[in-house]
Amino acid sequence: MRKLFNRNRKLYHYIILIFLVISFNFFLPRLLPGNPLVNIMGEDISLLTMEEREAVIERYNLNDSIFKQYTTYLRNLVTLNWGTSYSKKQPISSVLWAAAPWTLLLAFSNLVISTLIGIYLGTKAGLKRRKKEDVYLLSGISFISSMPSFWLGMIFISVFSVNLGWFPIYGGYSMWQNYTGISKVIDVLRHLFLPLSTLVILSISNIFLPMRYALIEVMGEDFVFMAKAKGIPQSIIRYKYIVRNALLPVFTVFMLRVGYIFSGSVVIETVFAYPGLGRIMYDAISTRDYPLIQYSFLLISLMVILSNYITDLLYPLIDPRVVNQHENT
Amino acid sequence: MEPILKVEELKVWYGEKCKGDIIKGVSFDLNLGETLGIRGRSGSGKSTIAWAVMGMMSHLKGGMEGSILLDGKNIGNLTEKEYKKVRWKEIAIVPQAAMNSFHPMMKIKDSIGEILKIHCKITDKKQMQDKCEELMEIAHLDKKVLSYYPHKMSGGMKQRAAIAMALACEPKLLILDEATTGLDVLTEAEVLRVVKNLQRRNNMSILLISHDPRLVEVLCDKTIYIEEGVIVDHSTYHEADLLEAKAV
Amino acid sequence: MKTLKNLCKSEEKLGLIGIALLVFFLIVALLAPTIAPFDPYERVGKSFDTPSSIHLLGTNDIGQDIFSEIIYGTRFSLSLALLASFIAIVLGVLIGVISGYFQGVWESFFMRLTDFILIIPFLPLVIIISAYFSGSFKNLALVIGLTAWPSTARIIRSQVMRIRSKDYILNLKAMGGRDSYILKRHILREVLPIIVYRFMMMANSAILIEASLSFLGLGSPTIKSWGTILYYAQVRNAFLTDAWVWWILPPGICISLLSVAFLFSGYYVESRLNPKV
Repeated sequence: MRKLFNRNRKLYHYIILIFLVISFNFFLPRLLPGNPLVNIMGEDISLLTMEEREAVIERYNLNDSIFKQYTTYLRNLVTLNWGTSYSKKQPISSVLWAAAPWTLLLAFSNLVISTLIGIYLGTKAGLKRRKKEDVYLLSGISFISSMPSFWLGMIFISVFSVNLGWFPIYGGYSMWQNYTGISKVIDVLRHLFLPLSTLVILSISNIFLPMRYALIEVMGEDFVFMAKAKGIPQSIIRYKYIVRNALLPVFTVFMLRVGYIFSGSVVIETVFAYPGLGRIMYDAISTRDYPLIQYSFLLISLMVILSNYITDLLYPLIDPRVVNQHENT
Repeated sequence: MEPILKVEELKVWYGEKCKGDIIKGVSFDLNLGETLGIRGRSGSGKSTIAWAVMGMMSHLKGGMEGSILLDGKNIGNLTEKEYKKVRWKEIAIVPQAAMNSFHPMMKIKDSIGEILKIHCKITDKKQMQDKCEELMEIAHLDKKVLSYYPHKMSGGMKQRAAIAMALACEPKLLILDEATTGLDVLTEAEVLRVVKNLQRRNNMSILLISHDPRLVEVLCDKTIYIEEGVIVDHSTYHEADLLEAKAV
Repeated sequence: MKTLKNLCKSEEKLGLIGIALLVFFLIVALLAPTIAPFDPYERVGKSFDTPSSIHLLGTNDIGQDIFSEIIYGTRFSLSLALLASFIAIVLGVLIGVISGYFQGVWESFFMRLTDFILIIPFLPLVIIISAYFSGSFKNLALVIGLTAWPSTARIIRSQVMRIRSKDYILNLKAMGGRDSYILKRHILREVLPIIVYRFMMMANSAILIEASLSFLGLGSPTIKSWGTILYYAQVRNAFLTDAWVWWILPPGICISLLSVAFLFSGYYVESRLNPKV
């Protein structure tokens, strides 16, 4: 019973967050200084004819009370009636639905790969504390993480695509070829390789640093010292005692990181002209297509909240004590 | 009779040797089935002796010299690998920080089971469960504590679980380092009774480290009093205690 | 023991490298007009010129000297990083201290707010806000500062909560010590190293965020910053030609060096802070 309540409480927490994000998205353009019409439709408003302008005002109910506007907004949101992007000349929802899978592919492969590498290297450095290896890993990874992502991406394109010709220069797939089956998969992977590598290289430090830190902290704990006094073999102490316990704080960092994974893809997708949400957002910014910016922001935020909710549910798998607590109460 | 533990001219230091010793040449011996009390103020180096006997100085970033004879065999110069076989099978310890000495994500039965598996080569599930339950009984703990995680247990429970764990392989020598500090009087008496019974049953020798003269008086056959790394007294009550008693 | 000494040295070394780099960039920023051979806002050569003894790193699409652009860019990037982190730190410390020390209603309000901002994807948030403002220096600093404080607030809050339950603070309170006195004399003093460390970390990411924003075209197109140099290089497809070597590499290296300089200085502060780590 209690377990059910706890899970539900988490769910309520996330539902409130979703509601807040949705409302934030509505109020931001309306509360900012300036003409809301401009804030909502973008600067191209001056190019519109009187009738088009009327249509926009009609569409967003700008003459109604803010409350009426809000309920209309909510209704349109739920019914996926998100309006039309005037820069893409397509319904916003279909533009975004087409882009979302690419971002998910990029972001989640990055999350998984960079986390695994980060944990591996963090363990290596932490266990070798006070040795050269640790200092090299620490300074090397810090330096790499201080490089701007788009810049590294540009360099990769120059070196690997333009000069060496190993990888395609842009896009998520070959637009002019009709690949099917396995060759299609290979084509997508070839396009994925460079943007993914850039993201992975830059994301390693986000897990590496906490892992190394947590490991050093755990190594100083009494129970690790006692394990040695108990004559437990070194390898068991390392993995079952030290690494296992260091993973706990790292997992909470990981949970926070889930929220950041889509951040990186905005910039990287722009550099590689990758057809995901980030690229859409960039296109929308450069044409000041505000409705499109807003809805891509909303979609990214919702995906983040959902991923956070999922990781929250996964937490008991990492920490058995959480489950045990529920069982006993 | 050949003593079970014979320590001669033990010198122990932390950090580098040149920085000076914590223990400056201590010798004592302990007979089979007897209890030796080590007393002294905090910081006098009592616990250091315990860790030196356990061969843990290298893990404490220190070193030692002198001989430690366990059952006539010098264990002071064993390598880390050889020492791993001595620890817990022949010498076990209930440390001062017993509260924090459990793996926080392992149930008590898994912690004890791990030791049984590594040192006593017990792999059979049933046999392991029986042994764990027996140990719980010895330490006066309920069987269901076996499936607890440490964070759910009170200080007294953890202390007794630590004793159960120390007795898992029926060691020849048990070191109790302030094992009952922090327990309330009733629990303390309970724990001590358990230990005393066991000593009689297994003919086990005990090194009891405590700041408390009452405890040492009740439990020990012999006592040494350590001050600044040397033995200054062999009587149960040291002059410092008498002074303190007067002051109170 | 020898390795331990080496380690202290190597961490100190990293710190010294960081501080040396910071000083270097500071000098470049201050003396930009003297060091730069040309005015970066003027057309001084033909477009897309390759490096020569006159134009060390060639010229850009409208014939401006790239080397001078980078020198002047130091001013913008460095001062923006400092101002943005300053805003974020002041907010983070204020909110962290208030919710950690006084607790009560404010704490739950601020912590909800921090949760909320932390869960929104950071860069998209900054982008959507910047999209509504012009990318002036002041606006960029404000946008970054106003969105980057929550992590600092969290850390400061937990530290203040730890310190305020220490015996001596409780004693001070029992003796009637005023909150403002305790806060100023004791709590702030204890968290000061953490504040310095967080400042370094903030500056490290502020530089990268500014570069990303400018690169996405959300900065000011007329101001010379390292990010905008790269923005124009991207727009003109410099990475598809040989120009990437002198047009794209140098500003990126500057961004990385300045950003890592803050990070290394931060490590130095941290190693002083926590002897165990």
